[in-house]
Amino acid sequence: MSGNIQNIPLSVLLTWPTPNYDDPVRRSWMPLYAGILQAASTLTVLTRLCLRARGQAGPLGLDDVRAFKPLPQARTAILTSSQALLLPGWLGSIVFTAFSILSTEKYGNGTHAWDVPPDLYSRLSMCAWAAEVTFLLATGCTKCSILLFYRRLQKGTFNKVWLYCIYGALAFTVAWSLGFVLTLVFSCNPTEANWESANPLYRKKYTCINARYENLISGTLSVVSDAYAVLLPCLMLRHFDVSKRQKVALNIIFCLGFIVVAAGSVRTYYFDHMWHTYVTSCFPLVDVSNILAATTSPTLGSTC
Amino acid sequence: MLIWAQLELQLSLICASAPALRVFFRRYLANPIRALSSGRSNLDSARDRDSRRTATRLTDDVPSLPTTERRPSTLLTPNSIRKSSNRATMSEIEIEMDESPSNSTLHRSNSPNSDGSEYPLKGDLEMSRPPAAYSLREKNSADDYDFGGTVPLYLYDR
Repeated sequence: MSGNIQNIPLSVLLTWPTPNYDDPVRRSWMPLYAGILQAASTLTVLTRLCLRARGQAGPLGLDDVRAFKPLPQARTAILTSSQALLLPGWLGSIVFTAFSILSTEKYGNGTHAWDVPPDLYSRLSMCAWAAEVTFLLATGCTKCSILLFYRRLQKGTFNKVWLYCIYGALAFTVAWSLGFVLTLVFSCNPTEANWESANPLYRKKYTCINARYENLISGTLSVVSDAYAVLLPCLMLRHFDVSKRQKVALNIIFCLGFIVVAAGSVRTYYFDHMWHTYVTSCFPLVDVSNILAATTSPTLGSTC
Repeated sequence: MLIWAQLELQLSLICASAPALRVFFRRYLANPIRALSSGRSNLDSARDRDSRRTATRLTDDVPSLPTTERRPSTLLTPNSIRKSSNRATMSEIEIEMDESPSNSTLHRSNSPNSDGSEYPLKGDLEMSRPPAAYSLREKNSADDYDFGGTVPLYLYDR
């Protein structure tokens, strides 16, 4: 997708103002912003892992093993993966934060596209490409962890259909994430053309697929997976007997989830029409609905 | 776009960890917050905890205890006695009797007295044990577990 830069039409390039390489307008708050978010997520993830390790929030990775007796080994592995997948997600977020800060502070991602010196294009594109791969892997792992957590809600419904729905969503998420990682790797031949093609002096022969459609499909599938992830707990918990306060909290969270799904749809639409306004590629950004749905669990005393 | 991607990724991690954080807040922060909001002293909290522990121990022993020598403190006249727990996880507990309680009595064991006095069972547990024929039945969810209707209270009291 970093190959986006090679597709900028001449008509768009002609509308760009005169570049200012010496003193460009900069967006300098990215390190602080990314640092605060990273610190918050690190604190929560480490607290969770610490609680699990000490057995205060269930044993590490095997919190609901007792619900399945006798427990086949394969199922144990699946249950364990709920915890195990959060760790690579968190490590991926650290790498992604590093790439974000690097690209904005060193390679000009914090400036306007026309103010980036051409000799930084390839490195900036490489940074964006690596960040996108990291992002896909990290969000994929985190999504799977959240979906695996839904099995706790499913236990409360005593309906195995929901379990199959969860595993279906898991398969979809894994396929979608891995598929787009492979697409990123093989979208250009050779792979280095993903970032080197942004360099005006790059003279090797290369072929790349049209990243515009790649981004569109990626965004659409992301919205679909988000909607699915929000609908799952909604439907599972529709007959849940909880207090009025908890029901209000649940509905607020579900509404937020649907708003995010709608926002993701709109974003995907405009992303398709405004893709050329940024040097670096856009990332699939929705998924927050998936996340918001996961926050339903704290409000349900019986599931935690 | 990096801004949104960053926000999404970090929020996903925070929310994925949220269920476990609930345990953290309930275990370590619930009591201080409750004490701050109600203005109760640490001494009162400690006394409540001690009283609850005493009551739980007593109710755990209910089915196997002797039925003689009970000292009346609070008479429960109907065949079924309902009382509300002071714990959020325990809803209603119904104590059912298999025979008429004409000469037997029970003590309130799990909730503080309305006048703020000490629990009646405290200090004389042997004298206050209910008869073995009585059983404790959790009304809402006892049928979800295969305990034959008798549910050990520690399942909910932990």
